[in-house]
This record gives sequence, C-alpha cells and structure tokens, in this order.
Amino acid sequence: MAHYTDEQLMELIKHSDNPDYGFNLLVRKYQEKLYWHIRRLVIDHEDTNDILQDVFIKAWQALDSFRGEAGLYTWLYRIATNEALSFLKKKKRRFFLPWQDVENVLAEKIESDSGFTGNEIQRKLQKAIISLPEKQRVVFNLRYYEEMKYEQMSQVLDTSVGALKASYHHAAKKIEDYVKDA
Amino acid sequence: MEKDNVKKELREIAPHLEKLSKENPFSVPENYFDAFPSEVQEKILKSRRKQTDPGFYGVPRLAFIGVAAVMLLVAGYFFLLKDTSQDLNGFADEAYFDPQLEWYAEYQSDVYYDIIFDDYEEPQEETMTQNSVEDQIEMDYLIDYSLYFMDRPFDDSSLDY
Repeated sequence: MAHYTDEQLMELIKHSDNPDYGFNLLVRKYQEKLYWHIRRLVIDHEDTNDILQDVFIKAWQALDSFRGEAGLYTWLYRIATNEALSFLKKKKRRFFLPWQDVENVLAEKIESDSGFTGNEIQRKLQKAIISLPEKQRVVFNLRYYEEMKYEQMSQVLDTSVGALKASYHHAAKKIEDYVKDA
Repeated sequence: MEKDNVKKELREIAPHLEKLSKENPFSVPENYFDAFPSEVQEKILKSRRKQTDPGFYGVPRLAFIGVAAVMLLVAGYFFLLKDTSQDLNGFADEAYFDPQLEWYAEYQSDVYYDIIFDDYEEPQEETMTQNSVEDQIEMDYLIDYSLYFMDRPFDDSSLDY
C-alpha cells in the first residue's frame, strides 16, 4: 500500500474502473497523519473522528476539480486544517458566557480524557500549546510534531514563509516560558 | 533532513523545549485505523445515493415530501374533527344528562334579560271594573269637597275640640 505515490493514487481514482479502491488506498495512506494533525487541534477523539470523515468526504467530492498543482498531501492538509479551525470557531460561537472559552474547555478535556496517556510534563506542554492563538497553534504543531518544511506549510496555510517562521518563533518562545515556569 | 533542521532551530529558540521528548500523549481506540476507511466509504456511498436517488418510483424526493405533508395535514384535519364530535357526543351521554343543565342550555341566552328585568312588572291594560268605578266616584267627591272649603274663609269655631 505504501508504495503508491500520490500520482498513482490519483490515476487509480480518476482513470480506473474502480475509483473506490483507489480512494480507499488514499484514505489508508493519509488517515493517520491527518488524524493526529486534527486531534492536536481539537483534542477530543470523537470530534477528530467526525472532522476526519468530513475531510475525506469533501476531498472525494472535490477530486474532480483537483488539478494537482499543490500536491495531494498539501491539499489534504489544507482541507483538514480548515475543517478543524472552522469546528473550533463554531464551538466558540456556542459559548456565549465570557468566562467559558474554548481554551478552558480543551484544557479540561486534557485533564479528564482517558485517552491521554502522556505524563505530567506532556500534559503541561499540551496545555501550553492550547493557550496559543489558533494560527500559531497550527504552525507550531506542523513544525514541531510533523516537521513540515516551511515551503510546504506556506502552501497549506497560504501564508508567506517569513510570516510562518516568525509565527513559529513566537509560539516556541511562549511554550518555552510556560514549560520553564511549570 | 528536515528533522535535523527542526531540532537545530528549536535549540536556538527554546532549549528547554528541545530537550523534552516528542512523544504522542494521545491514544486512539483499538483497531480505529483499520475500520476507518470502510466508515468513510460507507458515508460516501450514502451521500452518492442521496444525490442519485430520485425517490420512490421516480417521483422526486421533494415532491414526495410535499405530498406526504399535504396528506398529513388532511389526516390531521379529519382527526381533529372526529375529536370534537366525540366530545359533543360525550356531552349528550346519560352521564351528562341533567334537566337543570338542559334548562340552562335552552335558556342560556335569556339569563341577562332575566337579571335586568327581574323586578320590572309589565304595565297591565286598565280595565274598568266595578271597584275602579267606585274609587273614581269617591275621588271626585273628595276633590269637590276640598275645593268647596278652599273657597270659604276659615272658621275654627265650628271645630269641635
């Protein structure tokens, strides 16, 4: 399965007799990477599952119009990021009490989540990441955890490399302070 | 490799953070990733069916919903009518039969009339009976008598104390 390149997968989906099989391979190739990208942003597994399903359904529906300029990998990351951020925005709109924001809710989830297997330092690190502004969070996660190149990140987030470097620098500094104090 | 670049960059910005192990602190349910692709396929199939399915016997789904809504409204209308008649029938049952109630039901509209005109006696046509003729003669006599005394000067000597 892993030996299929993005081009081969696209060929299977667009020009073979069984496009479903090709798409199934695409899901298998990218599901884990996209899952973790979304999970680090929304924390909850069930929310992540829903978003990830939406990501692949939207990708399937838009495959005909996908021209391959950005690359399948970048394109899927872009959809996943947009879906996760709009999910958080919707969640924000739901909390109309000023003291109850998304950040607190996510922090509570980290505290109570049975699926959280990290130690106390990991818990503090996740809380620090949650406290970052949304875009900085995305940049930090993509660089720190997924070790994505700035050029690629620039295509995913439609932002200049310089701005992304600055954003990552700020985020890493804030988390360093948080972790040091803790 | 990009991994080395990330490590080097982080060491310069945040040396404490760079020393932390980069383990994944979250877990997923067992076999989650094995089952996920078929879940997605199922959802895609469902959405595809929605797009292509014209509804029952080729009737467009929206038209079908419209017809069903009209049928429900009609059924609801008759159901309500039936309910009302049942109530009225119930009122006519023996359990509700009471002569007093029946009287109220028949004369309900006259209740206010009765209240307002309860003390009022309808004027009766005067009939000249024997009694009324005698009364009239007596009255005429008294008037004449009083007029007679009014014309004469008053003389108290005739009064018997």
